[in-house]
Amino acid sequence: MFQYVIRRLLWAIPTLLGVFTIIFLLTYLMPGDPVRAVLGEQFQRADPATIQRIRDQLGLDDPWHVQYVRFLYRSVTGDFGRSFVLDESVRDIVGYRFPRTLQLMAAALLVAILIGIPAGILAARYRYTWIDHTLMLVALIGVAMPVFWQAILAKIFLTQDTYGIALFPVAGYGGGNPYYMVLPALVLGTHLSATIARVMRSSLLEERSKDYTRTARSKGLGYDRVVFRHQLRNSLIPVVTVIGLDVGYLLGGSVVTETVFNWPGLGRAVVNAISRRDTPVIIGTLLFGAMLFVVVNIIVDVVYAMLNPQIRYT
Amino acid sequence: MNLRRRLLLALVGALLATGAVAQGTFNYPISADPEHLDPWRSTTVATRRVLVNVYEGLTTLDGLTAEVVPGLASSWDISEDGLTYTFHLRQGVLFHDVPGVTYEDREMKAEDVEWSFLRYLSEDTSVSQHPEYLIGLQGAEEYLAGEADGVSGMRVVDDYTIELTLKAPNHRFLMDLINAYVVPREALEALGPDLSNRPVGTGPFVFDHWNRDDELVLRANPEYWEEGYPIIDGVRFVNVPEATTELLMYREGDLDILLNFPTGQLNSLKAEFADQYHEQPGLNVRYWGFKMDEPPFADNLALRQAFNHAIDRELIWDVLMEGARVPATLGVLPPDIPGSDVEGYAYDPERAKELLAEAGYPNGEGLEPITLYYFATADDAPNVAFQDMLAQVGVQIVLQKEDTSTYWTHIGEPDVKLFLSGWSADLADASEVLDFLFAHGRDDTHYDNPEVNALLDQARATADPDERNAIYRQAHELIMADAPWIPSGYSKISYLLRPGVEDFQVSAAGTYRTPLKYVRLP
Repeated sequence: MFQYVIRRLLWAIPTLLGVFTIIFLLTYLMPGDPVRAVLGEQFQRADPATIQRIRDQLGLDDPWHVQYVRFLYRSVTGDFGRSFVLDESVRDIVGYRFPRTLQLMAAALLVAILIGIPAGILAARYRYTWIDHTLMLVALIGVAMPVFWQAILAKIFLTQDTYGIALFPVAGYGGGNPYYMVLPALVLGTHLSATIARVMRSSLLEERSKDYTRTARSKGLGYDRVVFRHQLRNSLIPVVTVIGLDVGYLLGGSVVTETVFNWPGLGRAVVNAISRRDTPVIIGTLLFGAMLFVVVNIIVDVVYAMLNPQIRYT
Repeated sequence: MNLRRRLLLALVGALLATGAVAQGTFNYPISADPEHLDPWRSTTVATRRVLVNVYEGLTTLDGLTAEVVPGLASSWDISEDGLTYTFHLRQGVLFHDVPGVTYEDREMKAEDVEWSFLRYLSEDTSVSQHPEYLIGLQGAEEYLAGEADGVSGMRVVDDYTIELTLKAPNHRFLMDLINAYVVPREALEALGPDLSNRPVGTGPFVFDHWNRDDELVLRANPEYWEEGYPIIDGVRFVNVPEATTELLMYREGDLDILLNFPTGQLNSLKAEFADQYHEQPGLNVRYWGFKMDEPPFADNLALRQAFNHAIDRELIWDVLMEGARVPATLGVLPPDIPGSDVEGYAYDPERAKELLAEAGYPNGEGLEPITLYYFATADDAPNVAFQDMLAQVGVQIVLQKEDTSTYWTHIGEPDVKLFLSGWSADLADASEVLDFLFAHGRDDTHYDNPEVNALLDQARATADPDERNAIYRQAHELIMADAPWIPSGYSKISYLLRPGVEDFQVSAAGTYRTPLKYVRLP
């Protein structure tokens, strides 16, 4: 098991290097001059000498391989440089905002699991009855509904007396008050719970036709005992996969959710950085996101190995 | 007690515990955080909106008229030749008392002005991005180049008098000083680079805290020099990136003002909030610009005029865009700027067709389709209407929308012949538009008319406002005759203000210049 974890960790290195190179190339090849993007309309107020000074200070005129090696060196040392626009280092930007995004993601994941897994089990238990159909229809709608729209609906009906009930604050971080997190977590989480419910259901149904289920049933165990004692653990593997993959979705979904709910997280920082062509922040946050994704996938693989002892490197 | 009431109570309790709400704080939405709060490097509206409340310059803007009025200088004398300005400083103005900063002398004096101004004169953009405010002083260029220890045109006469001498008369000087803030040296020494996150000045509000992408809070300065002000306890800038959210928050009373209207809802909101809706003309102009040194528009005045006559600006702004802007039926200057009263190009498709024929393209024949570039945050409707109106006289327009940062770089390139752009004047002065967009080919249109350049130079050195504005008007007429633009619309400043909020002074310069010290809450 230990060796397995080490090998998974080693494999992360070439993955990250590849990710880094792709991110660097994408930002490098993006059309547009960062100085001009930073200054916008003010560009015309700045004289050419000032603009050249900014370019020099940011090292924008260096050849691409110099910029590449510099960024590579910096990212290995954990120093992604300073933002072109904000008076902050990328490390501070990520360090301040990531915990807030993580809060939101964790709450959303909790919502997703608490809704998704029981719903999947119920749907499988009452397969082809009205319970199953209703749950799966709701899940289908949940998967199909864009987060943005869900957020607006939730806000109109749950934060306004004019249209519904003003139960929750419209938006904001509220200084960390969990009350402010309910709505964004619900919106982000319900979407994911739909996927989990569907996967949980089909996975359980697959287990149902397997030999060990028949054996268990034939020795006289009740349906529910078979499900909880034998099937659940096996059928969780695809669910764990989905959750692992969906961490990426949560990270992406947090971009929209954070914008609509004024949540001061990483997603907002990325959006601002992209619209301001703030290359160090774009690279830093994307690389951080990629690292997070790699780490989550390692964790998922380890959880596989725990769920199913047959999974090992051979 | 129902569930909802209990939840609300829980919320209030939690809020009090975190100290997020205090009576008498003005809740002010911002669509993006300021990039930083560095007084020497402030270039954007986002930074100014906060800084104007914390820092002050020798001069400032009147909240209602946008005229230059005394700030930290209570008065000034200008010498006969227009070169020497003697500023008399207010006495008893104290720098903010904040933790971590100890002062030798908390009073703002001429030496503080000198020190702050010298820092503006730096070539290092990480120190200053506005050497131009003071570069007109005698000896400033030598100082900037490191050839002199001080600026010969800047002299501290005594604690409350400073004399500034220019190389050449420049009527813009007093305007530039609005943004040249006086900063305590001790604050920079104590806080270092952190001063750009925690501003310390003389203004009516003291910086309290800034949670990025969340809220930025200022509290009233109890020692402010203007007796009885500020009235409110503080200002809370709330980061609200999305207009629909802003509206929902305004409806729930979380915000005292609404500045961004969700697209397509302006008219219904005007009706719904009739008593809370305010509007007035602003200083931004939006236009479609021709590349003046590239075919087909270079050396083809008739073609540029034909385009100008083909566009029905009133239909675009009054009808399609629900009055979001004032149709630009005049010239390149917004109507509040002196010298703006020139004749524009009236909507006249017949005349447009005649001119098109004169330009060598009868009914548009022989004219290749032209691509109009515009930025992603601009509304589509005016540009689609533009395309359609030109199609009616026989000109084919291809619309190309680009994300804002790509667009800004791209329009400077020769392959762009026609683009949408905009410009905001900071003050109601013609130089604010003409000097930046029509002098020496500086703008993306590359418009460069020696006659206009000479007039603009002449105007800058003219002290008498009437005489000067007459020169600007003359330059404006020449520009309009050359038709480097198709002026589209002049901005309107529109906002909703919570009932009972008084003295929220708005001038043409825009809401970001509102002196919040005068605001009174119900």
